[in-house]
Amino acid sequence: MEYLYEKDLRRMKLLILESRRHHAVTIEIAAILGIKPQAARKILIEECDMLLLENLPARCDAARKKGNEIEQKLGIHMLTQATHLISPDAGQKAVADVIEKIESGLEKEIALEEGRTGILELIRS
Amino acid sequence: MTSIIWYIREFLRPAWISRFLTAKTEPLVTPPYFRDFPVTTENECTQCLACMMICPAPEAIIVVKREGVWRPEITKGHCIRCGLCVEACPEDVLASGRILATKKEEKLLLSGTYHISINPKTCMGCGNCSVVCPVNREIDPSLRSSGTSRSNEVIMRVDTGQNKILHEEKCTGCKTCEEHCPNNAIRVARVVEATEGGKL
Amino acid sequence: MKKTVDISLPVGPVHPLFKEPCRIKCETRGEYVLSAEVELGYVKKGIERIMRGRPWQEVMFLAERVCGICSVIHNYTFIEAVEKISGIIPPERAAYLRVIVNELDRMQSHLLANYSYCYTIEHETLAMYVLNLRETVMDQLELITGARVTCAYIIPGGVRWDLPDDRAESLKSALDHIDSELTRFVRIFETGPFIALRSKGIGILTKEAAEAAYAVGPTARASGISVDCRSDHPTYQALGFSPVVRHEGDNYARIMARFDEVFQSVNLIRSALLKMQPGPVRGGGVIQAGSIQYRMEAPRGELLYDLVTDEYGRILEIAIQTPSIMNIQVCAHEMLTDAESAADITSIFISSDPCIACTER
Repeated sequence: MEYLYEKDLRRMKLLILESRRHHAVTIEIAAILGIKPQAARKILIEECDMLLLENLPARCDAARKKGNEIEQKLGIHMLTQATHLISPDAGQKAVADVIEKIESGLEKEIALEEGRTGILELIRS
Repeated sequence: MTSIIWYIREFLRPAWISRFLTAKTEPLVTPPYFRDFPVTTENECTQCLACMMICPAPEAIIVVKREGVWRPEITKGHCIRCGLCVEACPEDVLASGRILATKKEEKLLLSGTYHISINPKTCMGCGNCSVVCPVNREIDPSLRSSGTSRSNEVIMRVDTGQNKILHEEKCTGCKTCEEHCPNNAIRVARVVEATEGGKL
Repeated sequence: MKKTVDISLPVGPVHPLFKEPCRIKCETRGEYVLSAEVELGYVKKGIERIMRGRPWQEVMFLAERVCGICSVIHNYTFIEAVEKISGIIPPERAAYLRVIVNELDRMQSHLLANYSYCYTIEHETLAMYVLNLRETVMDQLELITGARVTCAYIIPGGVRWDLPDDRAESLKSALDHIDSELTRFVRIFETGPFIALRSKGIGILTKEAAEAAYAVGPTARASGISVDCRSDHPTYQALGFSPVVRHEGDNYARIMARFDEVFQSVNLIRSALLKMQPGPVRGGGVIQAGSIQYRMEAPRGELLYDLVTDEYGRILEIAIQTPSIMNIQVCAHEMLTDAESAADITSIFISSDPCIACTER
């Protein structure tokens, strides 16, 4: 859904992300995506609206413990449910891809790394 | 239909009818237990400044000398009516609502200790804090004239380019040094403990 | 994806039905609400920044002033957080007194929220009844603590002063009065056909949406999620606490959940008064260095204090996460979307009990 804004909200969004709890969440999302916190902040500012950003730490608390081991390592619920960065279907597809790669004999770490790059491309596209 | 019957029953209650016929707004009175701005009692202020040290609001209470007598004065715009000064005063000079009576009855006590911390990176040894400290000036009167001290009894003294704390226990927590430090290098911590029954 | 929008309908920031200023921007097609966005930022205070570098006796009062409606819980949470850091355990009587004051505060907050809702759906009679009943609660708070709001009753190691027997008796009779009066009001609310028209089936929040957005407090409990931080608190466990849960998820369920919680609070205070033994109310103790994330249940839901103290008990860093932002977000993104009528925007918004002062701090 696209919200109509009256003004440029990037500065206000950055102010939100500077608080202590939001900073911790930004670093966590950056670690999940394997990018710098600054880049993660840019993605969050572009993709999330103000209310979602304000509520980000609480939503991440709810999403963090969800799912099986692979889903937690990829942080898929953090990206689909908490931040709406990717759609739930795309998230499930990414997880299925990684599981398939592991079952076909690829090493777990490499498969996860490839999954991460795929997700990042999905977000940036 | 049931609700209409319900409303009729509501209005036919004797309590409602009597209240309706004798409707009268009660005058607004402040109850005696309301925690209002502190007022001074007859007791003599000893200028220990315990009230000023506990006060959470900036400049809400000051102890001043008027006509030769030290008295605490409340600035009403700044006071938040917390009542901590009433609890902290050892001489029962202040009173507010029920707090003074309760304090005597239950032997409530707020006791504070004061700690000075100096950031060695930002302290440039100018000595403003040592000169301005009222306790220092009391101990070593030579500070008033020369601005330097040789006494080992003062709270703090500049030594080899750095401010050194000698007697932290003498600090009364007034934060005068904090206000006069150009670099915000010195900080005074007021550590307060709340007890009752006279035990420390 | 852009939708056809007839009009972008702003509600607020100054609106007769809102207790606090905030602006709802709704995109509507006729009466039908397509989407909504809440704009905040009218009462920002920057309290977390002021708190830094101050000891407990100053931060305690600042914490209370985060929110005027639920001030006791902010005091309670902050003090329990610094107590947990320093390993201070309050005396048993003080723990029960804290619960009594906290539950009185919860009662007045819930009654105010329900007053506000009744006023929004134009049932002013019931609204004034409920607001009048709130005064009884406020009088009891004043009797115990000396102030109606910003009570400053809870301090590290205990409470400010004791509750003598004569005041406990007055509290008990006030509770009986509240119990009998509120039973009548709840009956009016339950059986009113016009109230049902404005409340039942309106602003539905499903359990899944509430879980995804981390809705808290009565808003979540009315959607069938049994979440309440009080179930983890030792004093409440000793009083046999269990959360109130309803399953409808509409405006009606949220208001009824609050009424039920007021009755629950009455019973909690009664059992606390029964269990309380005479004894000291202050144990002393000095705040030490450490860091903690401490959660408690505010009237609106989970309240989190995330703080770091230094060796003299001063606050180095603090972040407060208040419950309202979760509820406002879920309200704007789930409940307001697809509302049938523009007249329901305010009633849906008020039913989630938004507290803007909390949210912006």
